[in-house]
Amino acid sequence: MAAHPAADYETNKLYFVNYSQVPNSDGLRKTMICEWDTKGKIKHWQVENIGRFDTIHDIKSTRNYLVFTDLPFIVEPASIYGKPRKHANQDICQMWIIDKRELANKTEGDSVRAQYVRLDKPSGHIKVDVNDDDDILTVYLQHIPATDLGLVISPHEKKHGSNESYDGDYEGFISVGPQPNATGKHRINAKTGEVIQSEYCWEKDAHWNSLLWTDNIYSENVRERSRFLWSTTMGLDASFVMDSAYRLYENATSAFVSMKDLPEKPVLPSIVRTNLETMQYDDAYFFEEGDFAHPPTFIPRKNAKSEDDGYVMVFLNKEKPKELQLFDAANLSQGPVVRMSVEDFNPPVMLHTTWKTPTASDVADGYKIGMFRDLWGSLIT
Amino acid sequence: MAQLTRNLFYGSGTGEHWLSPIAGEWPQDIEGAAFVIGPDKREPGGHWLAHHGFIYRIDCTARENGKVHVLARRVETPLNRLRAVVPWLFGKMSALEFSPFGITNLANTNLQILNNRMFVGYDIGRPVEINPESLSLSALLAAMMSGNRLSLRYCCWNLKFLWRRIQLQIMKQTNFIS
Repeated sequence: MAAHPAADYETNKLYFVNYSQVPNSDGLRKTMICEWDTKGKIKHWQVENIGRFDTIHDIKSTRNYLVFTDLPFIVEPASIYGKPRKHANQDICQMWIIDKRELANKTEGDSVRAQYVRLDKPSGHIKVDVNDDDDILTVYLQHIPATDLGLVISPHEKKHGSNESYDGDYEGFISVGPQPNATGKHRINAKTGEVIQSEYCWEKDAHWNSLLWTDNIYSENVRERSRFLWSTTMGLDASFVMDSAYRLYENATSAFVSMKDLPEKPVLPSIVRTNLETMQYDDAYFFEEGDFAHPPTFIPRKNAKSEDDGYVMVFLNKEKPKELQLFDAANLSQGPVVRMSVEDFNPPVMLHTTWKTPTASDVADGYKIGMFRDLWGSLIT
Repeated sequence: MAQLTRNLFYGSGTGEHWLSPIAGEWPQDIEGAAFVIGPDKREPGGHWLAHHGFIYRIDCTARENGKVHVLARRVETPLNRLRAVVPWLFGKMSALEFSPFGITNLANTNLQILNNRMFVGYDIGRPVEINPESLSLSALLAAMMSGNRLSLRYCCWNLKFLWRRIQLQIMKQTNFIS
């Protein structure tokens, strides 16, 4: 099951991609689209004409369509025992589009057709505008060329260029890039799969090594046609590039900047806002050298009046103490509005984030499904 | 350039924290709670992503003295509890964890809010529902996920894996291997 379900806030449904890399008893690898109203049984349909992929990580919902992409992720068992990786991740992004109206017209369990789209840079996460008038989708992709979740700093790993080992405190860290933070805006005909227009936002001299982004998804108008993304970046220290990453990706055709042409001057870590209309960065703040800012979280102001009327929260790892910082989402460059900490606040590097209103959920207090009922349900249905 | 902080992977696990302002003031014009999820990593080594899920809940309304409450809890799935009792049944390869029950749902990747309910996502496993107030487990959402019948081949593969783990444990305990 892909880690990111698609939320349809108009119908209050969640959509999942459920797939198997291990053949079922009939020898087939199935990919299913699942729909859940968060209360009843999950409905599922098998996706036709879907080829091979490494993993699927994210799916998003427009008014009439579901959009999902693959995430390149190769695990070579020999690398666990210190052998060098032999194969680079794929250099493209595969995308599939499913018409939700077709789901509504089909019986649960039937198969549905997916429109295939191929884009020339690999992708990690997706954002879409709900507006899909004239069947034209606006899809934003976090492009991650040369990023490899299977490459990890270990005792066997060397720094590129110096043949030095890494300090043991970094063991476990993955190879993100090294590439500029890059967002692609793709306008796609959902019926034909034609990519009508692709624009990219990135800079060569700033905002390198993208982590994750956050957005305002808390109002209907904003979801209809978004204008902003906020991202944190690690910056770039070329002496920190892993030798195995360089070896596998030095000729990556999807790279925004060739591994042979990395900036010699270090790039500072940052929090940056991408303007999705102009596809330019329009606001940024740079952290101190050596700081590590976790992925950000957008928090809207009470009675927010615009898309950027709120704050962006980040955890910041420094030598000590670690901090929580809040930025004005409309004015990152002024620096943090508040810096918070306490001695025992010690988060390791985290991943995705979200925000929730103070409204209580409509399920019964203490709602709980027992494990055996849960397991039994999965076996007999 | 100063080297990237070495203080990346030293986590302290479950707890409650009262954050105080170092500079500035916590704003009064936000409410609700922010949530952050990731692997519960306590020290460097292995693979960043190969650890069980861990959630921070940050109350967006400051309390007295401008302090903000942060709750930190592990995603308490049954497999997480079982691992604590019989850790030798579980082994890691790259970002994945294996056991006789298959690849572990580490529940460490994504958070999704809908209808004021919160679901944790992981790429190899069903979603897990978490109470957004207490961060306790509400449901594994397996009962509602049809079409996931265990195949005979998969069960056999898991039994074979279990037998190998037991053999390895016996060899270790008899000092046959270190």
